[in-house]
Amino acid sequence: MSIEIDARGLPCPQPVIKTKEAYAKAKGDALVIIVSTVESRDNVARFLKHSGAEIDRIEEKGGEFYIYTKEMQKTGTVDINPEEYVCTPQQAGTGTTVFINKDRIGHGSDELGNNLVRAFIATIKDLSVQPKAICFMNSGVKLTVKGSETLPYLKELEEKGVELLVCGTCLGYFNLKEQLGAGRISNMYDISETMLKSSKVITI
Amino acid sequence: MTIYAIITFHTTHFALKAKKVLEKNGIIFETIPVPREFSSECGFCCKILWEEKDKTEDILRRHSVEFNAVHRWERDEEMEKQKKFRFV
Repeated sequence: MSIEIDARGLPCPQPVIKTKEAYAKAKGDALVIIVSTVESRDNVARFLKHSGAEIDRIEEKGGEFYIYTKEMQKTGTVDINPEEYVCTPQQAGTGTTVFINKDRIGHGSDELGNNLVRAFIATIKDLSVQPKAICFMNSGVKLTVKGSETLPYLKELEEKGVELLVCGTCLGYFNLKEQLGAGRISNMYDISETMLKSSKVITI
Repeated sequence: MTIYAIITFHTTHFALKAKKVLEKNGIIFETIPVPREFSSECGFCCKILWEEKDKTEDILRRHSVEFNAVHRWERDEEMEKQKKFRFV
């Protein structure tokens, strides 16, 4: 006979604890443990090996994992330290980064698009929530230079503590390096790292 | 406290036309999204100082830029700057 343990959607270390409970009274039976994350699969498998249970096979069905054990030869209470079975969450990024890669929003009309991007920046500066950084690339850098209508709003954002990273290569390409009015000249390392370390990147 | 006039337009085309006309006529203004208190619709408006209202309306009329309404908008800019915000 096999006993099914449905541990789908349970956070760590719950799947291991449920497996442990079933294991305690499963003499002669096989177990089928169903989990929905890779971390839970690995944790349950590790627990079973630690307990001396033999894993018959692990099957993946539609993103869920079915762990089949062979019939239990010995069972009983296994002492575990739950802390050993806590999933380490992936290093999560923090904050929002806005990526502006042109001097307008969308396609269709450059005039409208240019007014939209300026309005976008003028609006976010007044919101109660702020992005941690805004990265400018390609013609997006034109928004940050002297004479740009967007510049006063960017300066306000900078004063609030929003980091403005302006692609130096792009400024150089448009021959605007000397005209930078807000933010700091940055490079691909800083910009890509800032994006990867954010919980969310919004591309304009 | 600064008092502004918010000029709204029937269409975005008129809002963008107003921008060009006012630029040429030396009016100090900003084209901004219509503040929430005046309309929930998406649109641009012109923000000018209240004292410039009559002069601006006159220029727009002379250049056949149709506008919808002129609202009085009081803003305490210092207070705005001190408004609490959080990074998300």
